[in-house]
Amino acid sequence: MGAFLSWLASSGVVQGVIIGAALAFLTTILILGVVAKAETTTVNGWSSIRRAGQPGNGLLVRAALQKALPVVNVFEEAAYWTASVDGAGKKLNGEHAYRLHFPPGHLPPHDAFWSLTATDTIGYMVSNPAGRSSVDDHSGLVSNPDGSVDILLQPQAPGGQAQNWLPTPTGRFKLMLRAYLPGVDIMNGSYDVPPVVMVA
Amino acid sequence: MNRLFLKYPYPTSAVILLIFAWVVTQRLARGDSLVLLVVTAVIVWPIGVFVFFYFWPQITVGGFKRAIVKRGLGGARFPSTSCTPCRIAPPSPLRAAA
Repeated sequence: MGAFLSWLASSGVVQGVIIGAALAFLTTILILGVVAKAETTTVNGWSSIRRAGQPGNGLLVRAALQKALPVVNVFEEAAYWTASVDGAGKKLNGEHAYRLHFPPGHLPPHDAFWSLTATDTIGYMVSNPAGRSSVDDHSGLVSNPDGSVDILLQPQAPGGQAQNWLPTPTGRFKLMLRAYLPGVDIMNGSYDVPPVVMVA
Repeated sequence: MNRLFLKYPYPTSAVILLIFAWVVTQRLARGDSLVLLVVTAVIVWPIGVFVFFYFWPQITVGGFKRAIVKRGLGGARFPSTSCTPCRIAPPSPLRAAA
């Protein structure tokens, strides 16, 4: 037994298993990324995947969408949009201030609630002085006189309308917008999230 | 490690491949045969890809469950139908996922 283990250790089999498994992992990441990208729809810089969580997606799509949007609900339960670029296609970065302008009546339609979260590029929330990383329909957002709503995205507190401020990380970041029990306009695909606009 | 790979996928992959290249060159320098190593790697590779495809959802859910059990849900509001409003990461925060 000892001789066999000694041969096994020096034969290259163990190294072959390790190398094969690592290459398998890297290949998996590569393939899942390509498949997830093919399933993603992007409008105004916001990406969404309608098929995420659907039963019957198949082995490959199921894994790919689980990687892209881990542990999500089916679209009928919750709609998810992510953005790592602004409306002009430039990467979101805490060095700049951004505004997300929802025209009157254009907040995400829903039968439960919506929320907007700022995270780092991986998806982890980052501590900030305000102690919150999201705003939602219960955040007391202040509407403009015309009924539209502006959400300010920047690391530092704005001069006014702090209720509408979503603190962002100081470096590159991404946004996730969620609408639980999405409304008809989301379900039929006629609702588009407005673009994030850089203001400073 | 997972976070490192998520944040720097290409450099991390490059380091892994460089380590493998070093292992192979060391074996070659010693005059060891590479046949068994290569054959084993070629067999394990596609099998491993399939295994990762198959178990990826379970692996992901397991990670979320461990994070939630260890760190809680962070007090965020979420509907009862949503199993993961956030994923938690050091030092305090949560990873927004579902």
